[in-house]
Amino acid sequence: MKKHSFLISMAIFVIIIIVSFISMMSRVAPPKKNVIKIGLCLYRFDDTFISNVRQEIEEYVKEYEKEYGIKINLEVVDARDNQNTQNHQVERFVSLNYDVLLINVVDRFAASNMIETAVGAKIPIVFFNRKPVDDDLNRADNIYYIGAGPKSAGIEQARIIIDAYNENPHSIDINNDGVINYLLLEGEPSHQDSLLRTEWVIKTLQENNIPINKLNGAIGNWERAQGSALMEEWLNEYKDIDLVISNNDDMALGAIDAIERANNITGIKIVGIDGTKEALEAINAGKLLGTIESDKKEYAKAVVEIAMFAIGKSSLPEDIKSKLLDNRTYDVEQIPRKK
Amino acid sequence: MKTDKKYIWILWFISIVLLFIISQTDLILKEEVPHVYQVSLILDSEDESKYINLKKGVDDAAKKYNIDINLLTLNNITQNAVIYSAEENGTNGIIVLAKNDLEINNKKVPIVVLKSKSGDIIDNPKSGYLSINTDYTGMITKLYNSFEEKFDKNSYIYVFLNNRDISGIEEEIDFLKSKQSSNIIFIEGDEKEFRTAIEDLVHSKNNAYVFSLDKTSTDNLCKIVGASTVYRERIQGFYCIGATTFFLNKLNDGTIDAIATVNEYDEGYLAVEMLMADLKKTNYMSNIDMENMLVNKESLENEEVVKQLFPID
Amino acid sequence: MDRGKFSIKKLSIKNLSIQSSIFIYFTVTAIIAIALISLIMFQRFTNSLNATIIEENSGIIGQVGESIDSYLRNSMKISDSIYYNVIKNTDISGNEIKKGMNLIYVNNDNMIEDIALISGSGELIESMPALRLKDNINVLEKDFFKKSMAESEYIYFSMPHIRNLFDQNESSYSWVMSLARAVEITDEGKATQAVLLINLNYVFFEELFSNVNLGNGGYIYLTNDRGDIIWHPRQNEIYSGRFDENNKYAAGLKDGISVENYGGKKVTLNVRTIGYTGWKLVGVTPNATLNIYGIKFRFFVVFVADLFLFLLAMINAFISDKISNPIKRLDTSVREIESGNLDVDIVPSGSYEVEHLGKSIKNMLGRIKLLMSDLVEEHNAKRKSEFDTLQSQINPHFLYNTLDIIVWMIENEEPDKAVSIVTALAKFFRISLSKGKNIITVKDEIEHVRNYLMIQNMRFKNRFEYSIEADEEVLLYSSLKLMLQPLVENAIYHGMEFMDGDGEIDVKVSKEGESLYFTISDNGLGMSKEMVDKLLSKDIMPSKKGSGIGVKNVNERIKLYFGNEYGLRVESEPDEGTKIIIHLPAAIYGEGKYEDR
Repeated sequence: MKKHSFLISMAIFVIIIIVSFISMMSRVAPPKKNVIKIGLCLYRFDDTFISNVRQEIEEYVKEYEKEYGIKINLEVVDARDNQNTQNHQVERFVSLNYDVLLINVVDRFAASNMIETAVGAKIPIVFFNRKPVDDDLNRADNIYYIGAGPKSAGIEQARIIIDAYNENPHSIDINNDGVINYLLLEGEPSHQDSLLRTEWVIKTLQENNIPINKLNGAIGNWERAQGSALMEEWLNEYKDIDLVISNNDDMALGAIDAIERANNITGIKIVGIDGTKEALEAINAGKLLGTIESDKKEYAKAVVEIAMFAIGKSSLPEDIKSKLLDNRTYDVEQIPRKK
Repeated sequence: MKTDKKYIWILWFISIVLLFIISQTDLILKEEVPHVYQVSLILDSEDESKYINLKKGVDDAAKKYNIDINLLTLNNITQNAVIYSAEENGTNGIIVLAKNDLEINNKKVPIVVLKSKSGDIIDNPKSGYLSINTDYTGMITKLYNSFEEKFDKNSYIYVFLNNRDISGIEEEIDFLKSKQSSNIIFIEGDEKEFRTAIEDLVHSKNNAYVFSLDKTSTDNLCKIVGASTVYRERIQGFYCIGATTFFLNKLNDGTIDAIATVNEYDEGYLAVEMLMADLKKTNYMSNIDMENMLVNKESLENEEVVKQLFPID
Repeated sequence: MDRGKFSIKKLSIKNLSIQSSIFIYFTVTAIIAIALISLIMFQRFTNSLNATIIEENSGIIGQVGESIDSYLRNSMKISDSIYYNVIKNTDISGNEIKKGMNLIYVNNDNMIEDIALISGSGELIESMPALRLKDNINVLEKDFFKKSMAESEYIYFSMPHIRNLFDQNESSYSWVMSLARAVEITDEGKATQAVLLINLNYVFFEELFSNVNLGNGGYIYLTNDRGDIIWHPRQNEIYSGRFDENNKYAAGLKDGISVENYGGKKVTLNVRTIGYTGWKLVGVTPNATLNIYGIKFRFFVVFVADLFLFLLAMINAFISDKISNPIKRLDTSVREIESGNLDVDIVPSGSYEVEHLGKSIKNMLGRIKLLMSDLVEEHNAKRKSEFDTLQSQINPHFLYNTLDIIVWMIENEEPDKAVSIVTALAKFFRISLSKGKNIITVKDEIEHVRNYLMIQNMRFKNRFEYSIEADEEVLLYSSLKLMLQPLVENAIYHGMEFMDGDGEIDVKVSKEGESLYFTISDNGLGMSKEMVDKLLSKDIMPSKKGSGIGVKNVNERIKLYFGNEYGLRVESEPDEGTKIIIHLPAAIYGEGKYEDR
């Protein structure tokens, strides 16, 4: 019996060890895996256009959830126009095992960091609105870009002016001196939208023989406040402004702010691009001549559908699929809006 | 060696090997692998832009604890339904705003209720949820005192609110009623109702002091008032419950006179701390009272106040 | 008494068993040694770990300090650049300032939030990007403006603050640090003072501190010269009152390393002053502590203890096996021997010394046994001898015979002869006894044999003649009692048997040097060599009716009492008579040399 009692006590000792550590293991249940986590990284929350797109994305995500019965957690973060911040945000999403990232990159030349991080973790990225350089886009198969084609936007913007001019030249050429003096409000330097929109609006106007004359131009960085400040300066400087061509609606609205502050100025025509809610309201109020609205619903749909397709949750709807170029880029429809 | 002695030696040796494996390697006992917790933050859809500081607090705390924060908005679904579905989807904790019809039964995960009224909690620690309380009466008192200093004792007092279900509104209404029996008008609703009321005010060429009891109302009012200087002239004082960056800027430029609020960054941070303490079974309060602050233009010069109301990223 | 197991009851400091002693001493020593070593190692480890961490951290802090330095210098250079290359001597009414500022802004737009040139009257002359001053702002009241106008040679760095000068999106805010200086501008030929303001993006500045990991959960933070926090990893928590830092205190310390106690924990503070601004960079490193609360650590402690005990037990078992147990077994055997059991089986085993002990004890036991049996034999022999002697002292047959003769004499009316015989007999027996002594004087021994001879002569009717010759001086020497008489008895019964009146027995005693010689010679039949040998080797009684003491016995007794070098020898040839010569040492009786003790 003595021999047995030793064996038994040893066996009990071993069993106690095993049982105690099993009970010490973590009690928190891991989350169920059928929830899809999407990270949405915006370059700036307070960019009106981006804000509008974001709302549409949120809407569309909810519809998608209903349609496919898949639960989606959409987390939105603001990079405050700082690429480093955005890199940290992407790292964090990756470390939290997010499924797909929708990125509105701050600095289009500096996307390689985040691409490496995501690609390393096999997470697809859908870039939108701010386009990384082609080399970066082509790094992996699951990198996409969705944007509103700046070239067509510029052309359409020109078209608004052309149509208005053709209909009544005086509406554009206020002092009827045969020259349309314009000011140009440009977006961020080196942004593909600024460059192309500017290039094509001017080109199209020139091609259509509209007698434009550039008084001045400046970088407004897409911001309403800067548009407003610049316009104020110009109002002081120039007395025969006919037209303000703005690369986006926010700056255009800023120009309108400046004009309203100046009180006794009328007639200057202002065109923008984006089709934000505020811009559409301004058009209705007669303050803004026109804008080019990207179909934000289409924008959101493309972003979300491509994202879900990239992680294998659903197949692309026909309308999205047909417009997807090289399995990589998508151009969102843009429609002119005027009164 | 006798056989039974041999068994003892062998078993003893095995026990040593086991202990070694447990303590020095990860084969049996793993060091707490950074576990990713899921926490759902539930807000009304319009609220989202009004609770940026709260979200920042929640996010900063989340970074500390390796938590994934999931923002859920209501959109015509009841808050209770959203809570239920969040639990179904495997969330580890929930942060939610207090509402009068908030029901929490059979809690599966810890829930933190923000902005509940002080004293609202059943004094039973197993009541089912943790709470961070706001002293609404205190807030409206401070706001009222600030108003009283400038009150001309003649004009109307217009009190705007979005709906009575918002936590604390009843108390605030009662307080104001107790302070001013006459000359006080309560307007409940959205921009449309407010616009009508303001326009009536302007047409009647009267002046009024305005109280706004919730952020949605303040937002609507700012929109209306900002549109025209005429409106602004008729409003002699503008006092608000609840702050956002936008309102603070309006405070700075003189549109709003005083705001009563709490440090929402702190509130969000604490909510996450409370959840984690509950999940990890460490000691923490289950019931915290937030301090009120009254902010006017002068206080925006105060560094301490600024740092609390404008958290650094 | 089973001392095989370690029993606490039998524990007393003086008398521990070997196993207990070894176990206790060894265990105590091992524990003390290990404790000491652990303590020392732990101290050294902690100290060296701390030193390493502190050194590394100093390195890191140095680096961060340098990058802050470099950042400040860079921003000051930008300010210089704008002033000296763009603003100075350039008329503000043209476009050059705007262009110049734009160039610099675009090149540094990560770092710079905005650049503004503000006139002495508080108006915005130029800004990059295009900005408007807020409507309700009075720039002249602002700190940066007042300070830079007041001290124009000085570049003023502000603490982080919310940018509040310009129109911007009302739903957002940005934290900036301002860098301002007074500049001289030219306005249509007139020179006046203005302020060049550069707002530095705070988020960009924060990047200098990101990913700085001081070992052991440490961190760094930056304050101004008065201790107000410029950046702290937990600054939001500090402002909400949820975290405490002794920043004011730390900023007051001199540059270098100091160990402080804060919040009940020991931390090392590493302070470094940043040039020009006097800002303080503070590195906080908690002192290295083991994570003693981890479950794994507790298991580790149990593991170490278990291992230690295991090793101890093994060593103890080994020692037992080799040393204690063999000794115990030896001890047990010895006790057995002590209690009288000489037949214990000793099996030598164990370590060398113990085995040797075992063997020795075994051998000794063997020899003891042998000696003891020898002793017993000797004892027995001696007792037999003594018994024989005793019996011979009584000599019953001689007595009966002599008494017969006396009766006959009396019956024959020869009383004188009877009286002589009785007297001789009495003397004979008196000397036979000699009060139990074994050594008597030669005189007495001669007297003894004379009486014997006289009696025997009368008995045997003068069948023989005898003579006793002894020198005067030898009478006082020592002699063995009952030495001569048995030999004479032997002579009579063997030698005189067939002598018809011619027998002669002569006893002579003489001293030669240190020896005494007693010679008993007779002219009897003599003995062959074999008979002589037999006489000496076997206990042949001269006669059954004699004293019972044989020649051999006399020889043995002589050797016994005087030593082996003395004894008797027999010279005899058949028909030539027999001569027995006794050799004794010449020792005067009374000197105590051979007398009975």
